[in-house]
Amino acid sequence: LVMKDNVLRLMEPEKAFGELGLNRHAIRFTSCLQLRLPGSASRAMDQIQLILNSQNTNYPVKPSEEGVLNLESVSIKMESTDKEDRKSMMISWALQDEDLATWIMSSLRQVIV
Amino acid sequence: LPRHPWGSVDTTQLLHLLSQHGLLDARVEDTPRGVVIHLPREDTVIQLEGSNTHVYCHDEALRRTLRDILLQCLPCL
Repeated sequence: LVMKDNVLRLMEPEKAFGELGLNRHAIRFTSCLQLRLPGSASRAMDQIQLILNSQNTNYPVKPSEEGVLNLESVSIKMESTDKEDRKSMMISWALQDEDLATWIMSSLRQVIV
Repeated sequence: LPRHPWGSVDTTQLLHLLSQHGLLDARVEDTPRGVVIHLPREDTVIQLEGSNTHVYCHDEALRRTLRDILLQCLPCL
């Protein structure tokens, strides 16, 4: 909600920053989680997609592209580790998608080591 | 939780707040594009580049603390 020239208007954040001449500050987070998932990294990524879709039927997660799963500003990459049943998941997101990222991490609690 | 910060992070204030939260091992490194704060004991890096901040942290509780500290160092819409 932005008040400008004595007029109150509802604006998208991006537009409001432009109108107000403010320099938006982007905060991004990257975390690495160890997961208990057997098989290849791409199979592990498929399992992640299945887990997320089983907990959220309204907004289906699309398959990963070029090994990266993207949801809004959230991106997920999977890497193999020395142990066959363990994968290292790199998850990165912008502050505005904090809820989405924390929901993803809590949905994956069952496979987080 | 404020979602729309603007401006730049005040590094001095950030370091002060980190120490207030018991994060006393902060090591500051100047880079061509800004500042990198290393927290070696916590295996964490905070990269500050003008209007961009990137937090690399693998401990969720600590990450949330750092998020809240950063938001205290920035004005928000």
